[in-house]
Amino acid sequence: MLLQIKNLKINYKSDNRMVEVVRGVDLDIDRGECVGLIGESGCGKTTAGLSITKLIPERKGNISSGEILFASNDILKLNPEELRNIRGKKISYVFQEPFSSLNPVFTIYEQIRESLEEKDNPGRRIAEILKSVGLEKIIGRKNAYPHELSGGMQQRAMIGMAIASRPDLLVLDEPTTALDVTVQRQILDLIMELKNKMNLAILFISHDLRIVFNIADKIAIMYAGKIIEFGPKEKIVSSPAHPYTIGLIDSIPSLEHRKKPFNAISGKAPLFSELPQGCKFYPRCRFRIDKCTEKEPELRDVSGGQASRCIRIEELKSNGTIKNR
Amino acid sequence: MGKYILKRIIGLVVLLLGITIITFSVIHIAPGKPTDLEAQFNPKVSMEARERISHLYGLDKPLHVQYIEWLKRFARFDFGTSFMDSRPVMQKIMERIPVTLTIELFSIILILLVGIPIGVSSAVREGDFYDRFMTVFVFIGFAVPTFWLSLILMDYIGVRWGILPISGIKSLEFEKFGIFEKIIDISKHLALPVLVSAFGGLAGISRYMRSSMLHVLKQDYIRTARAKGLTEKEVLYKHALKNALLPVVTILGLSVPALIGGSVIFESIFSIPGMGRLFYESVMARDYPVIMGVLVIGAVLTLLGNLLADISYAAVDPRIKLEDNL
Repeated sequence: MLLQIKNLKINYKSDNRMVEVVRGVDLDIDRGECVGLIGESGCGKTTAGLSITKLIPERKGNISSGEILFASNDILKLNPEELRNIRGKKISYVFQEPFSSLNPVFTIYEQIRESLEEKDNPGRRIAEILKSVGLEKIIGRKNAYPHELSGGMQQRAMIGMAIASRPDLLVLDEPTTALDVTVQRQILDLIMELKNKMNLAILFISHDLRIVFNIADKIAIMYAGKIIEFGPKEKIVSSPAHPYTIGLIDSIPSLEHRKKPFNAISGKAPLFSELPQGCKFYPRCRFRIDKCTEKEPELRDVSGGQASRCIRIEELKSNGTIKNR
Repeated sequence: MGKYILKRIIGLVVLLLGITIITFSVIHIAPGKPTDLEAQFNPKVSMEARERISHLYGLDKPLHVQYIEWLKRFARFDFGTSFMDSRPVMQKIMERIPVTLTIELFSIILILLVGIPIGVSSAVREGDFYDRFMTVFVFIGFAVPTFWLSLILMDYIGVRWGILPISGIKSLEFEKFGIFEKIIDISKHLALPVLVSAFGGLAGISRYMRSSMLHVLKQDYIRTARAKGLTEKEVLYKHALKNALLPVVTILGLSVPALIGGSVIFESIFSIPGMGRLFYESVMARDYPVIMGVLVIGAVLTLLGNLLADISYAAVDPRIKLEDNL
């Protein structure tokens, strides 16, 4: 296993007090595998992604417990020097807003050069990288600055920086959210192409189910700081095993049946400072019973590799309340 | 770019014209006349004699006529002659300007050399003891009146401890010194004025630098730089600092008038024969041609400072292109 996250807990500062926003996350990613991490805004998915190389600013939050094993080494135990040798070299990031994620006063060439492992004679390698991310246009234009590129091209440059030193794992945090739909498609195609070519492992963080359904091999659904369902993509798509996942899938607007009513999940995501007792999804759940509030359910295997935190899922499936799709 | 600068310069000329109209009116409307020293305070001077002096200086003409005459001379770069000693104003200013510019140049350099590191290091250690100490330190510099600080420093450093001379720019035996000793002598005389002038300006630059750096450190591209595995040094002093310095360039151009204004006070206190003191003396004597001369030169320096700030901003920030069609 390339990356193993075990019982990760992260506290974050909010209104001058610490709240636990990642409340025990377990996640494994194998070489060449794409895992989609899905959740609403503020469910802790970005924080979890940043923590993989300890990128959470110290003033803002801290990892209170857990292990992050990367190629069997615990990242949380590394010193700053060792950590730097992993950041950008073995584990790279692509963030949501390419425009603000690129430094405006340095050229694209310089920003890619910084990410290279071997620093001497970088020209050829940079040209190679630009070609592989579809930026042939700026090969040789050493004085091209980020603001001269379109949003899609900026994101290609970010991806170029991320793959520059041939990493093993790519963490993509909503990499297409800020882009036009047509450009989104191109960027996703590029990511898939690079994944296959370089045998990259990918953690794809997003709130957009359709995109994750398209590219992920496995999917983890996060709610209120914990993973509430995990499994292979096919299983999650065809037989979701948590009322929250079902709600998410139902709320995808349908292109075929335009008159079909839009099914949003009722209520709001809970605040971390006032989480409910027992199952955290209880207040919004259509299938809730009193037993759900007793204690927070464990993540348990429900059908060969698919895990869920819902205590009623077998019952609901066997009596036909929840049907497979 | 060339066209842009030309357009800006034309704009500046118009602006300068406006400035001269306002300053000319204000100093002529202000109470007191240049003839007062010679006439008002001397009971033996007759009414006719007073009018004769007034006529001699052209002060009996209407204000707008006086202004147009002044403007005609100014168009030929002739500021007229001083009422006090009949020497050309231009000559008087040129004698005085090098000292003032020297002090200002050194005090700007000192402000930058001290203020930028204070601002950057405070931002990096936001909220801890060092940051709070520096905040108090620079605000003391900002709040303390120049004249008071000057007098205290003169008393301790100059008089009680005798480390530095307290007035003028040369020692009495200056002419006997060799070139090296002359430089030492002048630097000793200028040390206190430069220090006083810089201390007051420190708060502006360092606080500006601090907030600029804090703003930059919160940007996404700083997270990107860290995610790339760059050292903390590279993140702070390459990626953050270059961005944080950009707005400071503008502030630099805008700080010229404050320095010129400040020079009036400390040049008078330290008896430095510079522009500030010339201005003070000429205001006291209502020496209109000299006052106008000093103000116009000050205005030109300020306007050039602004223009230079705009041009250098475009030079350091790749996102800004000075548009010719502006």
